[in-house]
Amino acid sequence: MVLLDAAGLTKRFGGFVAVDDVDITVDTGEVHSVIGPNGAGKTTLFNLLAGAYEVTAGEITFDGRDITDLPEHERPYLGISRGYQITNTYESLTVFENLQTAVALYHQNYYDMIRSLANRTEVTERVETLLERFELAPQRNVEASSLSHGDRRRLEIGMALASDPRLLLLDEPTAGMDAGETERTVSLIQELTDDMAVLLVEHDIEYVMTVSDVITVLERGAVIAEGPPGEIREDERVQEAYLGGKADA
Amino acid sequence: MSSEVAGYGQYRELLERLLDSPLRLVGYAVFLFALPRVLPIGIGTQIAILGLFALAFNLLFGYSGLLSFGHALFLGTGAYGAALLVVHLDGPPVAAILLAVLVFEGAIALVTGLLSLRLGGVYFSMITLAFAQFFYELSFTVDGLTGGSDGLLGVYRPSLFGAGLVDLADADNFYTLVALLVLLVLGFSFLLTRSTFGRALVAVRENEERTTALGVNTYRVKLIIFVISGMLAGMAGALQGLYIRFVSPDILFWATSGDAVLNTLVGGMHTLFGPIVGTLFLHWMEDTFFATSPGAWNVLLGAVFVFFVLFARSGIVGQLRSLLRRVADWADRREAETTSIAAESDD
Repeated sequence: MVLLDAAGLTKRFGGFVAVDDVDITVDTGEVHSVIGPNGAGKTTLFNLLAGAYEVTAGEITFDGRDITDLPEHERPYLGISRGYQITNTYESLTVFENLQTAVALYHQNYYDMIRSLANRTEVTERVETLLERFELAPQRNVEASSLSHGDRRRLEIGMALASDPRLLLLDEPTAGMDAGETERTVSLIQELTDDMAVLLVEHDIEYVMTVSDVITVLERGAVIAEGPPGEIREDERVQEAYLGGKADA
Repeated sequence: MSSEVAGYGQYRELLERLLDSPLRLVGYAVFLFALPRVLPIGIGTQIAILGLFALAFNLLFGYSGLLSFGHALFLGTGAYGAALLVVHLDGPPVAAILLAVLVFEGAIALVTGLLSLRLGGVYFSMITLAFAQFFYELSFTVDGLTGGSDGLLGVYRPSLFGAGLVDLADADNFYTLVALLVLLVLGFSFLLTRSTFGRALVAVRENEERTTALGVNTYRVKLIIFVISGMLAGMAGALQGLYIRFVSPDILFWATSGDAVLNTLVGGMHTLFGPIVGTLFLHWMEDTFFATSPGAWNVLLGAVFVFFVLFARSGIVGQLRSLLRRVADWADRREAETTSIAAESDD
């Protein structure tokens, strides 16, 4: 079943076309990766889908509903959630408070000025579950700014999952991670897709090949290939544009 | 903040629980009760009103990080509003005046907030400053209404509920009213900061981009706290007008907004009670030093401000709190050392 469907998506910054007439669909339960060399327009495409940028042309539908002009802050309520390429947490809050914020602001009425947040057991329970799932329980009282890089990346994904999304958008979730941390994150992502779709934007192609169901390759803002990992690996244009230099790496 | 250990020791735990408990409100009540008994009641009243103004300012600044440099707008229009109601309506009950001013200030804050909150950071500060200065100039222009630079005369304090019920011309009664309103606002702030909305404010302050992505309409959150802050600042203004029984354009001048910023920073911006402590402290300093040497006072004020910004950014209350935390941690460490090293502690 098609969950996310973007057609003719275009983004211009002045005279520069960052994303050029891109069609992309994500099905329920699939991991769909967007890869491409630096400057290919991956992060711009990501921000269009997340609603952080306004679309110049084209349209986006989610679960049959046109969301092209839907404000970013309303998309989580349809089931779309996003992470950030550069870790984007609440630096001065603890791990627990970061997750508590993500859970409470989505699941509770955030205009409530009277009831104490600490007494909301339904929030606390969800936070505890997330702490366990992302192996962050020992660091619960540590401020986000003092976490190791890998821990912060996992906190970041945990916050994006607080809203129980149907589609999770992740921008280079393993950037800067060592091999062990990458592996943990990859298995985490594979677990997630039991009940949701994941759209990954990646620069590093190696683990994308193992984790993805479908790969879209971007070059200079346009799609040059799309298909399952095996097909992408064999595609001549892809090898030329992107894999060429690092085929042996 | 020290956060390398997952759990706290017992003294620290006790302290944190105390700091987070509604018992604090009892402490504030004692403070407000003692104020007019330690200081002359006139000075106590003035500090409580300006403290309330700083409190209202800090609801916006301390929790959502929005630095309004035009809160004099609310204090000033609140004062003029209350004074004009007294003069032109022949002394309606003060309770009705306060309600009317709250509604009026809510409307002003809604309009100015809608226009200024689209922009962030320094632009927001500049636009709020511009609004306040506009009303400052306006107070000279419409001198038929405001009395221009002569100020608005003939203001008096009607009774609280009309028909002579609770005489506010009595200094004790008036102070009690002010103190109760300050306590009410402190109680509301206490609930607010622990609530989901309070967390939304902190989230906006710390990382607005992420907060939007989590599904929060951050513009509306900022607008709501701006309106609440403006309404309460306006209420402080109404009390100020009734207290002095005279209003002049000075109250709308940018320096009045600056006072709120100063009092809050010196007292402690991320604290509930800091703005009141800051107001008290600076008022005491001014009383002590301005009398002996008016010229030196401004220099001294500048030095105090620089000191707090450079060395004590969390203000008097913030510094006291971290001192208490350090003492509690020290007591915990001592206890851990004395109760034998043999006992394995598993957190």
